[in-house]
Amino acid sequence: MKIAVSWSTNPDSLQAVEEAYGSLMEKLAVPPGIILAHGSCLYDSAAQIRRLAELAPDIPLQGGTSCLGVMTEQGFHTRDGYGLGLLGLADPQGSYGAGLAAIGTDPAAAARAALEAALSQAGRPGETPAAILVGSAPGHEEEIIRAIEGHVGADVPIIGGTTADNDMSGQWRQFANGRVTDAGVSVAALFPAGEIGFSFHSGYEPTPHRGRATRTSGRILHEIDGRPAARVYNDWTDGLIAGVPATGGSLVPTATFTPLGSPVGQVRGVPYYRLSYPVEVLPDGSLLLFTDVLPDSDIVLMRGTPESLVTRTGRAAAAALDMAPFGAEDVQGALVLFCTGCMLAIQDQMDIPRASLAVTLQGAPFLCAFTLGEQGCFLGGENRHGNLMVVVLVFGPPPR
Amino acid sequence: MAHTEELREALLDLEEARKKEIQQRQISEVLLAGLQVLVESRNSEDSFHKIFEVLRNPLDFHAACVLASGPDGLLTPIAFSDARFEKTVWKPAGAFRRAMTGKPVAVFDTAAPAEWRLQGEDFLKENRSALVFSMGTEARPALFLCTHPERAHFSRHHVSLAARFSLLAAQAMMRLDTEQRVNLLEEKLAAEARLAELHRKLADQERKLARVQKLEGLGLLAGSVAHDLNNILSGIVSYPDLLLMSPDLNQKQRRIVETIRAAGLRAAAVVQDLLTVTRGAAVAREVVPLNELLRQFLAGPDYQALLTGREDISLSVTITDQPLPIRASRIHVEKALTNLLANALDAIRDRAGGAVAVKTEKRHVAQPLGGYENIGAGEYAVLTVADNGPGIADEDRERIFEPFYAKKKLGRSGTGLGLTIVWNIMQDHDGYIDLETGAAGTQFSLYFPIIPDTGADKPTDIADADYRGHGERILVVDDQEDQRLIACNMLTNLGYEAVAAAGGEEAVAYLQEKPADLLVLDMVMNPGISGRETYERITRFRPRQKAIIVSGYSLGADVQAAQALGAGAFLKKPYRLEELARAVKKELGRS
Repeated sequence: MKIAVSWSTNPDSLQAVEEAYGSLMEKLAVPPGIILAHGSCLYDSAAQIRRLAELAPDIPLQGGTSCLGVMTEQGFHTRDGYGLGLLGLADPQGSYGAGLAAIGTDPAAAARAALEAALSQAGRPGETPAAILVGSAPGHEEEIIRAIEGHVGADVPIIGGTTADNDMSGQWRQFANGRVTDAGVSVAALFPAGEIGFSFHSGYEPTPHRGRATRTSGRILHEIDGRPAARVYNDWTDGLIAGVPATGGSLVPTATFTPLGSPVGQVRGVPYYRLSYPVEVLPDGSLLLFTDVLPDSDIVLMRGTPESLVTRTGRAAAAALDMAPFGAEDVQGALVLFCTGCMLAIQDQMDIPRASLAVTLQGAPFLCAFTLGEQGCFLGGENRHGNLMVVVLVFGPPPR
Repeated sequence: MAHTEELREALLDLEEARKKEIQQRQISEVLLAGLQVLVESRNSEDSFHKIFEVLRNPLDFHAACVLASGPDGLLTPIAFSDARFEKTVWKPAGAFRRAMTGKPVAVFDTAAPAEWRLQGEDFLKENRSALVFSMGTEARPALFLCTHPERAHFSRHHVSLAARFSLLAAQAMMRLDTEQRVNLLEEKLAAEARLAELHRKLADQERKLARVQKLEGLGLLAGSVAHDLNNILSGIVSYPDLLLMSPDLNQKQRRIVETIRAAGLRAAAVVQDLLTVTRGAAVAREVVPLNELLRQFLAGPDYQALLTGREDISLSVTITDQPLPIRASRIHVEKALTNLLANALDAIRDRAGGAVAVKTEKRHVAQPLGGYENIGAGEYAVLTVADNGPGIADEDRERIFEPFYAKKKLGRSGTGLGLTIVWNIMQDHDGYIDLETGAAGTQFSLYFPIIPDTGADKPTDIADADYRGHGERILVVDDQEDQRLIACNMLTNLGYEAVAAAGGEEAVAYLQEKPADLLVLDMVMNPGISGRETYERITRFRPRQKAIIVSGYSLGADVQAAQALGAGAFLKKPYRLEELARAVKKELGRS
């Protein structure tokens, strides 16, 4: 297995993809088994992906838009909102496939269709992949996860990121195999010859503020302990959103360091949390979250700091290596999905997480995309969708 | 805050490590149990069934089988935990081929992979998910296939366990393969060693056979030469006796004739040796106690003659208490013993502390014994003559029994035939010779088969007080005129009425006309019928016709046949007057 990563911040869509692909092939030297592509929404993604498919015919391609650009071991690559990154994975003994489907009215069916297409392209119909990559438009991540789990089993780690634009204006797109959608789900099925490791990390800690979601609908948290959720949240955060219009208003990036959390599991009595980003105050005093919220679930105010966001990426990579059956010296490369909100909050300090990743991965190439939500597999094996998370997937050599 | 978060992460790491440790322990236990089965079980089917039991809980499968590839490339179960697998046939496609390479394949939906298309719909419903992994080697590929009725049942943990088990199973199988290959190699080497041993034995047998054939060929030649010499010697040996019976000889003439007779007798001794070399010379055998034979020999003049002038040597004789009855020609055994003793004494000539040991013993040979010759299993009376001389050189060892091979003066007679005679005698006695020689000396062991001691066939002494006849008519039948003349002269001088016939037909004709009290019948006559046929024809009309047989050849089948018809003693040419007289007298006196 060999992994290479390349990038371009050329504002010309085609030139960017040609530069990145040329650089990738120069580093890789052999045809890749799959290309993962993440680029900013300012590009003509359709043209880019078509061109990429021309350049690498018959090679599975999966990815989506990433806020502002991408990060690699070489830096945070963005220029005027443009940035494209490619990860090529050459693995003759492995199998890879990608699929894309429009979500439409049935996100689950779309997820299954995309997955079946990916398995088929990998030449492994019916076989359980080592991991599944997902990139979807915001809004249906949980359904997509459940659909994939229902299809291949809950034990397969799902690694994903909600495709992002640069300004939450809905310019996100999903790609696979020369095709692009703006409201779809792209899936990659990974059957690497080598081993993998992964982690799903928040970097936030719970505060004493907690309550019960007494009224919810989908991603809307109406009430906490019978009170309007926005008011409770404002109280918990000492008036953080007091200035937000009661008729509704965006909480991005205001709430970046104070998301809400729901306990997912416990480790020796200590819970671990899935984060939910409160993105908007609704006119009725409800909060619109970026994840589903279950009725009667525990709601905890989480707290992060710029410092914790800066340092957590390296720790997430270390956690991925901890669970992997190989050491850092054997890492071939990594895919990192980093919360857009966090990135925006520490944008000026992004070289710190880059460096910590590079150190932890011992210089192995990695591609980091910035997403509006992250899907990953918790320690207990739960595949979840969360916000303000970081996901790391590391690739290693075959078992000895 | 970061500190608190790090503590939380540390806790998570700890938990992860704990989970890993538990999983690893479970995996290790399973691997250990599985490997134990693989290594300890020699029967594949049995071991596979044990592995089913070992893996059933950890892999949580409902059914499992082990598939092996046939010559057509299809996979069929060689062991299964569920009878529904028994008749299944699998055509390997991508999933199975990948599994063969060592990476387990988990199938979340068996309806999709190509391998399952050969299976029936019911089978697929009962086996919705599967896990397949290699547990063979490149040389002996085999797949472990386990299934579960629930879709997407097999997890990463199962795959991980299967991967490790597969790896170790492959190593264990390789080890078993290696062991089997080593065993096969060892068997092959052992077979090659056995083959080499067989080749060596065959070469040994061929060498011995060649030796036997050579000695027999030489013996045949010697016998043939001896026969011709006998006829020539008859005159030299026999006529002096006739001349010496004449009262007209003066002392000087008598000494000359006696000298001629002595020379003739020495020449006859050489010829006798040559005749002994001919196989069958010692066919006339009787039951002889070997110990008694040895005692008589040691008391006899031949032994004393051997020791004359050899007071310097130490000679020991050990005679076993066990009876050693053998069927033997006493005179030939004595001859063999004489030759061996002569050789032994010669080997220690001029050697300080020279010693010769003679021994008899009874030996049981349970398994054929590869000595100088291959000694068959059985009970043997063994006569051993050993000396502490310098031994026989390796290059001589093979050829010492060949006639005239002796580099030193072997054999009492000095004819160069001593050991050849010994060898032939032992052949005629269905016995064996073993020879051990080295720097410490030489030991010849003569193996005579022991026979049950019936006490019968005892030797009979003949009375030799009165050789002379009383006018009995004796018909000499011989194709050689000089032989007829010699015999007739001897018989006439002994007081018999001697008549002669020049062949068998003439003898038959004579006896049809007139009777004769005894025939002196030559066995080999040419042209005309043989002595045996002559006697056979005669006994048809004279069934009680007495006869003694004479021949330049050794005792052979024709002689035995004639004796079976009633003929008496066999007398070897050239014979002395005394020998003829005793034989004739004895036969005439036989009732």
